[in-house]
Amino acid sequence: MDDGTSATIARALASLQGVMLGDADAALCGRLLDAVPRTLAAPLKTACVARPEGTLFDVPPGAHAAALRGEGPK
Amino acid sequence: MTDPTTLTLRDAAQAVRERTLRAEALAEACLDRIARLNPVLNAFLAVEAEAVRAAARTADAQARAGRLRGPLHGVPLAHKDMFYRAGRICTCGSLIRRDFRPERTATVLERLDAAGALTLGTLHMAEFAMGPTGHNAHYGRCRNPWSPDHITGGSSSGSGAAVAARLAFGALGSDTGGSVRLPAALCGVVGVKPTQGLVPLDGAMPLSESLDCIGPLARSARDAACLLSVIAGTDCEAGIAEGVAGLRLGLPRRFYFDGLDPEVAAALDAARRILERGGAVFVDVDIPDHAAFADLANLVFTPEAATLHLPWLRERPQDYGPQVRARLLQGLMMPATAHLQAKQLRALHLQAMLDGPLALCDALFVPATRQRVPTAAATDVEAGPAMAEVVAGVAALTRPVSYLGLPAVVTPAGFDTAGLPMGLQLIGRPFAEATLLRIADAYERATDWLRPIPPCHALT
Repeated sequence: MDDGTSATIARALASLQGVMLGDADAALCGRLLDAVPRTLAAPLKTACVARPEGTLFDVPPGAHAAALRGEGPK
Repeated sequence: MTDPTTLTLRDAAQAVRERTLRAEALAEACLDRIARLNPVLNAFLAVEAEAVRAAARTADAQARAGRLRGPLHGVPLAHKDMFYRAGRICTCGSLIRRDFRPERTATVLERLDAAGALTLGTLHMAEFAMGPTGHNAHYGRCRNPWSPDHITGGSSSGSGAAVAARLAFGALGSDTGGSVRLPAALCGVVGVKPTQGLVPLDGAMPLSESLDCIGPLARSARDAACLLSVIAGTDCEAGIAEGVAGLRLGLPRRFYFDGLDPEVAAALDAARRILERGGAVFVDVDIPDHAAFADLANLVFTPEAATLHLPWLRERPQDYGPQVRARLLQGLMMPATAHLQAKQLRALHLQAMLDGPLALCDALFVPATRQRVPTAAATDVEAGPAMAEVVAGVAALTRPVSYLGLPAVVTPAGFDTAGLPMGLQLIGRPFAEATLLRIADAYERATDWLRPIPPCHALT
């Protein structure tokens, strides 16, 4: 996405949540919106490759607390 | 007579217990120092002089009657202004909560009260605990007692400055991405980020339910262990004096030691040799790739913070500092799936650390920061684009630990050529705070880094 498109989507997303964005905030949020898939791509790929079934299907988001207790995902 | 503010927390508590020193004298000594130094340091947002005097007189009367309340009887503390006390203003470092009076008291404060601690007032913090430097758009900047031109670190900026400058015997802070460890490292005191979930969070300002931790800042590992034991309700002092003989310390082969300032590298190297002389065994360990952890932590943190702040983002956006507002708005952009995937990955990354490096050693031995303490000018918004890189660098070695949820202790590892502190960080297995504090204690006893007092006479 180009910067203008990202900023427009950011404004729309914020507006859906009742928040109005100024120009500077819209530009910043647009860039972030664009970056989220890239942030996750490599860690997800690595993690999935290491999983027996190649997915995170059986890792609940609450699994971290279990891992702290010594009952983590194997 | 020795200035009572030079005592450690434990020595001060012992003096009150044995009635060789009155709690009122401790409180007066702190208040005198606050009056002289706070106009420059800006560590206290509010001082409760009359209340602490009255509480100290009560504590002295109880001591005379043999009714000691607990291990902190009569010891003056102060805390980051985000721990609720019923009826008392709690600003959270913000304009939005400038007049907020909570109806309840935080569990950690109740536990400190029950242990006999006194409260001197409330301490400076980053707005809503968002910011690693000590800047605050509404309350001004907190200054480093070792050099007012340098940052204190944040967000528990006042906690670091007040403890280092001997304005209080200890302080609570909160740590969501490094906010206890950074001011501890940059101000030259001890800071503990406990295991996620060890210390109860109720009655403390929330920021990110997945990452928030409450921890102490103090002038020694033993003082920190004492405070942590009280607020966690579990013994974190067990075995603290046993030394490091036989303990295995892991040196990560990558990430933590990449791109270190030469002075920080030299300080860590010297610290390693000291611990080796004490009998610790250093082992090289491989750690999972940490490069993405700070960004993953952001995916966890920002939607949780934005959720809490959404009503004010709608109705009072102008009442946030621009940088804090911008950070909160990021949370509105995160897809729920991205947030939850970051939490799934968190569990796997933690497990990889437990099965890998932390199965081979008792703690990881790493720096608290890669750089020396930055100046305030380099981290101010006026510094332009370079500022973002400096600010991000400040928390580069603490945010991954928060993402993992592991405990960590920071303790001073010496002073650089400019006279500013450098810190080392010990990272342990879940709920291994006592082991980390034992290592820190052995190191502190073999060095002299906690004894120097900041040159505050130059500030008055």
